[in-house]
Amino acid sequence: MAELESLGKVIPTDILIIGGGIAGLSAAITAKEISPDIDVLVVDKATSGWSGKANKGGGNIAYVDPEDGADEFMQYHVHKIGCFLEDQELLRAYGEESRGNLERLESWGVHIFRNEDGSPKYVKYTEELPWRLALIDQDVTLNMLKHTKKQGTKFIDKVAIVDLLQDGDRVVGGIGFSVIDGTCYIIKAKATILANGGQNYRLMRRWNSGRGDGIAAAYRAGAQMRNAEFGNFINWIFVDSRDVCQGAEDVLYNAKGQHITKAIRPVIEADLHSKEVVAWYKEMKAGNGPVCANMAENRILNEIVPAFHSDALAVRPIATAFWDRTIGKAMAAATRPGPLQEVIPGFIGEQAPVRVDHQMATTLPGLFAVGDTSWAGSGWQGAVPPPGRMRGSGLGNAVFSGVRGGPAAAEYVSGTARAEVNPAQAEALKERMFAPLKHSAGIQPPELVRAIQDVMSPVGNSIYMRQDRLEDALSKALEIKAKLPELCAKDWQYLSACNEVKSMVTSAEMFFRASMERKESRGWYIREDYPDMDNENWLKWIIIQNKKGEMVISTEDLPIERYPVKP
Amino acid sequence: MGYRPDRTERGEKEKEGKAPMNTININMEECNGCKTCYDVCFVNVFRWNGEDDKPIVAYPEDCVECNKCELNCPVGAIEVIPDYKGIYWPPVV
Repeated sequence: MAELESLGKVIPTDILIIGGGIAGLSAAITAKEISPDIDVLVVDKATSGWSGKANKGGGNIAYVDPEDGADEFMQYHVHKIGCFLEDQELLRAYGEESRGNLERLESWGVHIFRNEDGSPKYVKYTEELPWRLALIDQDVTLNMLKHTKKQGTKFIDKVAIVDLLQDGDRVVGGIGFSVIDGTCYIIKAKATILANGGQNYRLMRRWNSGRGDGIAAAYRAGAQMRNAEFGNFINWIFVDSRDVCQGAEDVLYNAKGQHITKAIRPVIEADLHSKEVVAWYKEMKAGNGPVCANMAENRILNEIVPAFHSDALAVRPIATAFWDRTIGKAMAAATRPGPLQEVIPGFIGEQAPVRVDHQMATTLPGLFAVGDTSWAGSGWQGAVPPPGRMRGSGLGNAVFSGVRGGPAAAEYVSGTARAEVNPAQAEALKERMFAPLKHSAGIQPPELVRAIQDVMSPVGNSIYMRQDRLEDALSKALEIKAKLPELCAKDWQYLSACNEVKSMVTSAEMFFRASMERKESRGWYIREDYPDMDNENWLKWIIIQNKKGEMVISTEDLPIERYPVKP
Repeated sequence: MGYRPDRTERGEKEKEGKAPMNTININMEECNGCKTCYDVCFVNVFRWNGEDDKPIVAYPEDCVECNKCELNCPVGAIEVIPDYKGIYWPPVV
């Protein structure tokens, strides 16, 4: 048996955090706040502080103000968004804690824009929504990074953690490699926090690098997954640039000049909904395409977004430059003159199913998951994929979950024994991780990335679902899965891509298997063959677990009798 | 049907041996070697040439036009030219 040290660089720590975006940094900071003496190490595949989505997003963070009311928030959310599938206790906690989390962010060096009376400046998409969007600039994670470093947390960048190390069920760290020089890293940790995002199948560009690495690693290690079927988010995108067209859902016209969503969406809602995608699909099937967004009527893009980004509200030079540059280039690529711009539903996924309890502990001892890795797995948002028809909840949840998971991991560390890593296990994982480098010929990762995108993207497979199409899509995903051993990598960048495509296939399989199970429509989740919400049979969570290599599906009743909002 | 995937265009380019991808131009005379581009890229497009202390655009095929390198270069030496037409997009119907 090889000595551990002969396999790679061995680094011991108390807490290993995988991913240095807003959720991972929130966890690192709050772990150190309660236990300043413990060692915290953040490992990122790119660069902590620059990675993740918070520094490329809209700069809004959803919070519930006492004026909105936690009860009203819950009623609205359960009836109109998550459709009774929420963990209502955690939902209430979000309602009660999210405003206070703004103050925590400020104490970490993040600037929250405030009025003279001290209240946060905010925007609402429509007045009726019982939550608000506070404003931050895109330097949020850089400011947090500075604070984290001051606390003594250590960082390793450009290292992709591929698998979790285990002592029995207990997770005792992670193994990965440098994408720069291929060095194998073995991190021994008493507690590990996954904070490396969700799964977007490498489709959505510009702001999303979530490839589901953490989800797949947790799955392989035996952690339970929950709500994997709510991993089918889309954005409307321009055909010309594949960039996002916000607000398209309210102004969609078919080739006959008919407005196709007015009837199902008479007023501006909290956010887009899959029902508009279904309307689009029916038009396309009926031969009424192409469908265009009438940009002259796009209120979200013409009025709400500019108000949101107005200097009069908040001067945010980094976000403004980012939006001007990226959207500016995309709009310049338009080939069609005039206000009618062809749009399509651009699949993103955002699957985030790692199951966690209220303290962000997974079902494996020593493993926690925060941010978009466990967004849906935590259950608080119900039958919706991230960002859950609640703009700003991505950042909001990242902080909400980080400030729970960080201290919980610190507490776990204080009461637990040193992590012991089995060299034979590390050796086997290392061999599997580097296998694609040893193949001189085989399949290049981009080929399988495209294959899995081809299965996930069609609306009939992933948004407007039907049993036969789901079965067909699953069998295609399994054909791709069978090809994974043939992957070859010419270097470490492509080795990382190999690991990513494996994660994508795991996510796809979970999505289709869970979707075949849920025989109803609920919230964002729409089945052509089961069009109605079925509270009699489906107030259930679908649970997925890897049992000796088999993807095992089970269901679990929601404790609805314990929850205040009932159907 | 309205939506036309650009597979043909992409296929033609690939036949010519030119994978469609974004272009990242760096003016190496203006570059001051600060390494910001290398740090900001969240998909690891850049590598670093330690001898000259200059960036290498090693994986432009992975660029997703976030433009962060261009926006954060302190001397304005970087330009990202997105190849929107070359982006592979899967079938949607």
